[in-house]
Amino acid sequence: MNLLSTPILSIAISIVICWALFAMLCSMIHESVTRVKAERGRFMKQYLLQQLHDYPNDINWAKLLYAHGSIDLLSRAVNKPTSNIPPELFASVMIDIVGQSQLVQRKKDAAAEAIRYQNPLLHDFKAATLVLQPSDVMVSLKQFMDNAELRATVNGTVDESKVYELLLANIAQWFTELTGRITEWYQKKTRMRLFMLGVLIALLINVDSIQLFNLFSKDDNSRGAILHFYQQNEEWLEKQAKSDTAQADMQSMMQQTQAYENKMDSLSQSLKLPVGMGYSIIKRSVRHAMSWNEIWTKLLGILISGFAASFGAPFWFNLLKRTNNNIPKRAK
Amino acid sequence: MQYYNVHSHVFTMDNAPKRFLHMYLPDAVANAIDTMTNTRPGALALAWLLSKLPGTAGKRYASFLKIGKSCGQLDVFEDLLKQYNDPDIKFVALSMFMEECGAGYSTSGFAGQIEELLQVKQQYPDRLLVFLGLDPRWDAKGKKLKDMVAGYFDTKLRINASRSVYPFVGLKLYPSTGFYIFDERLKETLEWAAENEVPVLSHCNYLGGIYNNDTRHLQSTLNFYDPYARKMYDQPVYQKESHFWKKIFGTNTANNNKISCSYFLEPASYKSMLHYFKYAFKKELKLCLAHYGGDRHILAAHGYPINERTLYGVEKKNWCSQIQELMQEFSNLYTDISYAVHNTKVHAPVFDDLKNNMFTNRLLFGTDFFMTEQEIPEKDDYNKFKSDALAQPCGSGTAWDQMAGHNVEQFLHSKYYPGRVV
Repeated sequence: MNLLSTPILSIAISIVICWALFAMLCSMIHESVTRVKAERGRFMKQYLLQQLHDYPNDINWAKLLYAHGSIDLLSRAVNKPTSNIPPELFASVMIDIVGQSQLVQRKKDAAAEAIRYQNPLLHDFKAATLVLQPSDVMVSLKQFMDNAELRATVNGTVDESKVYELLLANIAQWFTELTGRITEWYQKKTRMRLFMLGVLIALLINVDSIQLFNLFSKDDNSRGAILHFYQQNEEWLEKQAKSDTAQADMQSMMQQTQAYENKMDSLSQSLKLPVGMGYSIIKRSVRHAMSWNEIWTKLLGILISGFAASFGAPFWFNLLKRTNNNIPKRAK
Repeated sequence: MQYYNVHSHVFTMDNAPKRFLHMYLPDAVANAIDTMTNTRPGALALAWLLSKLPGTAGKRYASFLKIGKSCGQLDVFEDLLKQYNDPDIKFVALSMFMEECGAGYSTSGFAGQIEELLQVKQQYPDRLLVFLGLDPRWDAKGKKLKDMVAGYFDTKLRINASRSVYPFVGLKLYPSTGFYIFDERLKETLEWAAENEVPVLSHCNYLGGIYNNDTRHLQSTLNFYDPYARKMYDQPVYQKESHFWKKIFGTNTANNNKISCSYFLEPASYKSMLHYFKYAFKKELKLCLAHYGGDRHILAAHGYPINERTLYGVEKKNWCSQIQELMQEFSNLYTDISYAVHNTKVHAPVFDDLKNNMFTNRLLFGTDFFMTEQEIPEKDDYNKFKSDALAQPCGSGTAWDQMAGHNVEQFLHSKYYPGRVV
């Protein structure tokens, strides 16, 4: 049995293809705006300011981290902090700022007898773990130091370079986990934004999911055309959806946008979708021809499109891929 | 000759309490503005709007906004440097302890503010002179506080392999955030300062500045014991006034707190402490009562007609005159003309006072950057005063040499700053 000949399945796949393309458009717009505003970097800074605020010692290590030359040089401008701090760099800067802080320098003599390190960096960092008040941050750093010392001790002798290497690795690993959480939080925030952006764009260019459903359920040709478009461009679309826009430079983003535009042009030639400014509900001529019932249905369709956009293009392309893999070759 | 600006700030919004804006506005409005000002255009738009409103509180916040929410102290200091055509002038940057003014904690923490400021000092060891913000409400008190402050001063800051410098040259006090200068917890630290000739600068501007927003704290601490005079004051009590519009906007309490906090700043409240150092401790404290009482009080003290509705304070007397009286009795008492200097009308009376032998060596030049940014750009403020002062002969030089050079150097001089950074 040819699954794609099953109307309900082919209608669903057609709709999903439209949602994927629409989500891709919303993601591109969203990414362009956040890039201009350096929002990812600001979000990350905000998160780090929150997590590295050491209340017992009355100091925010993140503030010093961002003021450190090595990190500051990565930022585009004062209000556009970098969103990409390599974990190893984070670790080495943390060791530096904590150990070199006047807070520690002022008190380090009190712990001098308990420290055996020749290397001043290690000496001061170890002093910090001993003289500063216990706080979430300091307890973590102390744990990393203890762990590094334990692993670098052979027959009672501590290898300083090994301690430093392990300490770096431990802090870098901690930062990787922190950034993992940041990505999670950022995605949550982005999802809400994409929903609102999706609703706005859908309203502007009439991406009405209910209307599209009606079109695909009634018109076999449209359904066929969009499935054909997907099969023709499957590889390109998946590649686009997978590409990490956060890492892409401005030029590749422009190229991506241009390619998207070309593909949409070719799709609109083969398929007459009721999408575009000409169909917008904002246009007086369109609005006048509608009853209240139709307006409510349209708004519902637009909200569904916004909701679809909030999932992001990769979600819909993955869904399509999974569906595609489950359809027997013969059926395809 | 070496010139100085004895009064500037480089702290940022990250060093100010998170609920700073809530001190002046209803919560809902403050939250909305806080969100709006997260972007530079939003911050600048609001700064412009606030600068157009009457009153000083809005202007103060506008100054913060103009400096920006996301920049660091290094950016602020470099912005300050750019505004001066003298490539050698040195700046005293006053750190501020604002964690206890009833508006929440800052993003950086006070120790964080100091660390960041010292990072700037590492880059500009010869241009930046740092005053350590001091507050009796720190965890350490009495001897512990003194030891802590001495530790801060004595731990040298490493500039490079061959050079280290003393990080701090003086102490900064801001009593209107909720304490009296005669607070017993400060006594030993001030004695240490007097012994070591460490200069202390205290905010003293009539009804101007940052104040404590915690009404309960104010009501419970206003009647306080003065260990120098060994007496408990029965005045002042928490000051209340009712303003119709302030009630409507929910800022009447803030207004009352501002008036009450003004009592912490009144020059008369310094008298018992200064008296103790001169006559009992036998070593005068080197103290600067900043702002000379404020521009309106300077003008009023010199016969300019100023319409002042109520005069708050125990003495109910012009603050500039009070400072002058104290200066006549205490030879180590200084004053600076920061903030007031933006009002060009005060230049002439200040130059008149400079001719009085009693004050010639103790009037200091400072601008109060960046608080003045909403009144006048720093560059214009500095240039205008400098040109006026250069035209005024004073001793063998000019008023500029006297106020921005000789007097400030004399005030700053101690083992921590013997005229050059060591």
